[in-house]
This record gives sequence, C-alpha cells and structure tokens, in this order.
Amino acid sequence: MRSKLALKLGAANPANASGSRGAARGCLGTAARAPYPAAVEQQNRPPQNSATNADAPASDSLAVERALRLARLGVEAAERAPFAREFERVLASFAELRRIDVSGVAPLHTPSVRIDALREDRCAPSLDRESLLANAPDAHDGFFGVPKTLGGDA
Amino acid sequence: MSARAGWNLLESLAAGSCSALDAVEAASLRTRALEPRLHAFLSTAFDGAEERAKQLDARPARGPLHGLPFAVKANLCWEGAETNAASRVLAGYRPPYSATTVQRALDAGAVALGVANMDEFGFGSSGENSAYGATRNPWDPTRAPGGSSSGAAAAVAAGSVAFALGSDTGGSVRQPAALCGVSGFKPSYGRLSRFGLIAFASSLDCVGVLAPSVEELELVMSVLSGVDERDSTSSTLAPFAPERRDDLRGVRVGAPREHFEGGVDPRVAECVRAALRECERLGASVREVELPHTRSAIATYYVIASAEASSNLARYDGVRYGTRASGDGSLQGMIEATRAHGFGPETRRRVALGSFVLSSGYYEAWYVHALKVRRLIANDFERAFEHVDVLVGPTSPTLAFRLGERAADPLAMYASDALTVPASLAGLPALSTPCGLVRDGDVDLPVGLQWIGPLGADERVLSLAGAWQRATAHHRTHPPLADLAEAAR
Repeated sequence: MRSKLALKLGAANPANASGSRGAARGCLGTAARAPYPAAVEQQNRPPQNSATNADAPASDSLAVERALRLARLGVEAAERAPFAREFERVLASFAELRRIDVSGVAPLHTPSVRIDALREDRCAPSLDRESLLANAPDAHDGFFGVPKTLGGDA
Repeated sequence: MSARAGWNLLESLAAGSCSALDAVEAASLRTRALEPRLHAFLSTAFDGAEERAKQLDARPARGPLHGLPFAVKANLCWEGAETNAASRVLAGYRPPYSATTVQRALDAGAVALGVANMDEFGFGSSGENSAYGATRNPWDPTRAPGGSSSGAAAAVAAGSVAFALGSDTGGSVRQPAALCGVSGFKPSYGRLSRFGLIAFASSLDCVGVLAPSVEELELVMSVLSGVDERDSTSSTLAPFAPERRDDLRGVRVGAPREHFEGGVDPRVAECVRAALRECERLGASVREVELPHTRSAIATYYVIASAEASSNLARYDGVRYGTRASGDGSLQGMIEATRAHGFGPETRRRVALGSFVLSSGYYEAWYVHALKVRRLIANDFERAFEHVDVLVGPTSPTLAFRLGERAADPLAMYASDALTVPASLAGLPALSTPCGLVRDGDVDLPVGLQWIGPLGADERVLSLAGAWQRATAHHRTHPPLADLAEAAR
C-alpha cells in the first residue's frame, strides 16, 4: 500500500502539472534562491518500504492530498512523494496513541484555570489604519490589495 | 570585562558599581565580538539601546530591571523591530505594538539589545529551522544550542545579555537552557500574558524567561506577571511573590522513574542523580514516583500542537503582512505560493499534519483521542503531587547534539522534547537549571535539571530551585567561548 501511495503522489495531479498552477510552480521553482535546502529533491526516487501500521488511517494518497489542500500548501510535484513518505512515517509513529484505552476519559482542551473570562464590552482605542496597512505586501486607498477574484482576467 | 558579563550585571547595577550605560555598552561590545561565532541575533539595536540607557541613567527613579540588557525572541512583538519568527513568510514584519511582556520589561527599565534567533515559529529543538541560519552553542560551536529559543539561550550563556524573553510550547525555553547551561523558566499556563506572542499552539504557548540564574528569573517574573485584559487566558492568580529559602528542609522531591529510562543518556542520568543527592544533603527527602503515560507524551503533543498550529498559521496568506508570492496570479494561487515559498520544511510538515488530524473523518480518531491522552498525562501529575512537592529529573535526554545530526529526521528531533512536553501538556510550571558538566570528546557540555511543580505553584518551583542553585553553584561555570569576548577587546 505504501509503494502505491508513493508512486501515486510522485506522479502528482496531472491537472497541476500543466494547468492553472503552472505559474505557481514556476514561482516555487526559484527554490535555489530560497534559504531552505530542499529536503529531498529526487523526483524519480524509488518508493521505500517504511514501517506500515494498520492503525494509521492515512495510508491512502487522498489523505495526504487532502491535508495539503486543506492547509493551502502548494507543494511542488517533485516534492510531493518525499513529503508524503515523511508525513506517513511521522503519523505511523504516532499510531501507538490510538492503542491507549481512553474510554470514559474527558478530553483536556486547555489547562487554563480560567476558561470563561468575560469583561465589560466597551470602546477602547485601537491601532490606526495606516500603521496596520504598513506591513501589507499590497495596500491602496486604505485597503489590503489582493488579486482580482471576479470579472475578467486576473 | 568579565565583571561586565551578563551574569554579573544584576549585582553590579544593584551595587551601583556600574550605570545602565556601562551595562549596555558592555553587552554591545560582547555581542559584537561573539556574533560572528554564534549568530544568536537576527538583528541588534546597539545605538538605540545605548541612547535608552542614557535616558534611564538621567532619571531620578530606577525601575526594578534598571539597565539590564535583554534579548527578545523573534516571535515576541517589539514595536518597530523586525519580528519575523525566523520565518521567510514574515520577512520585514515590523509590529506597530509591543507584546505585553516586552513592554513590561521595558517599562521596568530593562533595555532591549536585539531580536534573538529561533526555530521558525517555534517548530524545532535545535535552532536549525530558522530561515536565517542556525545559532551555534557557546560551549561548542559545532553543536546545536537547542530550540526553539536558540538565540535567547546562546546569548544568555555567552554573557551577552542579563536575561532573555522566550516562549515555551513544548520545551522551547527549558531544552535550550539545558543545552546551553543557563536557567530557563516556563511558568504555569496563563501566568504571563501572551498578547503580542506570535501564536503557535494556543493551549500550550507560554512566554518564558532565560537568565544566568534563578535570581534574575524571579525578578523578571515579578515584573512580567499579572493579569492582562488583552489576553483572556492570563491568570487571576495573586501577583507573583518570590519566596526566599536557603535549604530544602522538609521538601518532598519526586524523581519520575520514566524520566530516567528509554533514550536518556546514562551520563545525563548520573549527573541528575548527583543533583538529587545534593537535594537530600540540603534536607529534602527524595522518592521515586511514576508518570506512566510519559511515553505517549511526544505523540500526544505533536498531534495537538500541530493541529493548533495549522489553525494559527492559516493567517499567513500574503494579504496582511510579510511576504507574498504571486503564484499563477489568482487569489488561491497567490495564497498557496506564498505559503509554499514562505514556510520551511518543518512548518509545512506540521501545518499539513495538523490539517489532517483536524479533518473530517480523522478528527475524533486523532485529535480528540490525543486530548483524552492529554488528560491521562495531567492525571499522572496530579497523583504524583499528592505525595511530593516538586518533581526533579533531567530536562533533555541527551547532551547538546551536533548541528546537522538530527536535522534530516523529524522523529529524532521530536525525541529531544520527550521530557519537557509532559509538563507543557498539563500546563505546569517547569524550570531548567544547570547541574554540572559532562565530558564528551574534547569538550565539556552542560546538563540541565528540570524542576516541575503543580499548576500555579510557580513561586515554589523557583524558590526550591533557587535554594538548590545557591548551594551548589553549577550556574557559575561559563562556556570557554565567552573568553573570546575578552580577547576581542
């Protein structure tokens, strides 16, 4: 199952290879200038047999793909297979958790002794718009600028 | 010069034998000399610090931290200084306000000297995940200083500053303090305001303090603590009131059995056992206790912390601050490209892992399950504290490891946190103090002793460790690299 996963992810989503994300990958392709050394770069690296664990529910390519999509992470095609392998290895190592009997145990969301802190609702000074916009990569007319989302070419 | 190293400044300033300007000039000189070897800082503000020191000296009233130069971890907002959390995605971000803890330190007369290096967003245990290059350990520059408060610990160990503000989510103050031979305190969850701390995992994050000794930690804690209405989790406990003790008579010390097993280096374990014998000599009774869920703490921590990180880091979308990559020109493409380009490998891994364990179909099986194991871990501590006043064991399972040794293997790196994450999951106050040196090859490396107390017993942890520290004086041994600062004069 692990081999199949690695192969699938290595091929990545064909729609991404030549579709609308081509430019995004072009941007990522400038990784030589990035301060991080690419952890693994071999695109055609053979799938490795890492420890599989039947308890780990992530053993299908959809799970990793979905995690990347939910996280809004545009991982390059060449990086997807090694990313998925490492992701699975980490999850598999955590699978022992799921063998611990927790029946009747209430989840501990926070150790805070004060979880319902309320205060009077009142007006107070805030930061001015100009100083908040000063850090924005793109700002005009007092607003944050983002790529066009409606009507015509982006 | 050695009289003006960070570890002597509190005493010199209190005695009136040096001014704030003298202290800041000494700190600047030392930092300039050591930075090429250590890279503890992402940016420095020597001129501004000296100007500030002059203003403080001219005032008739002195604050409790008068003239003490300090370092600010790069995830604590400091108005006007680049606060990038050592991430490429926040390059250039200059917050328009300061974190409450930073502001309280400044208001008490401390002088911020620079922004300390760290693992990106706090994701790491070696400092190597900084997007701007790793900090080196002052005891041996080929070794990691620990993380994620890597620069803060190195700057304190090298004597560049009198204290540093850091953050501790799963050990990020205590583990680097141990590896660099300094004292580092993570208060009870909620004891210090987190307003202005760049969020990593909201149910775990704590602002912490690193310093040459417990004495500075107590002083800084008394200035920083107190309710902050801008952080609803800041506790309503009474104001921090340090308790001075000179011995450990009548104190019941528990040594957690599981903290001496598994991957703990036998040399570290022996050094800690010697420290426990010192506790007995000072009047404490020492008994073994059990924390049976310790072995599950790393997995529990990484599931919960990654889940919370994936939510907190959703804000880095290239819109409001930091850098932007245009991608294919669409909004979605811009966001994905910004995050892929701006996040380092470990950040990407944690954000994806967190998104996965929170996703539909896996949420109960992973995230909620981990929260239940978290309860079992907290229950272990509660049971132990029915019989003992404080728990004492190693902070880090190993000595400082070599840079690059664990960088390619996330699981090996996560194992560095095995003994610090349990207290974080339970929200307990915990402190690391140096307890001796171990010879490793041709260098001596420090070992950290971890003190853990019940929730809210911050003063107790500091006072017991302080009494032990004054009696044993391991904190007075400093790294040989600090001599370079003398040579550079």
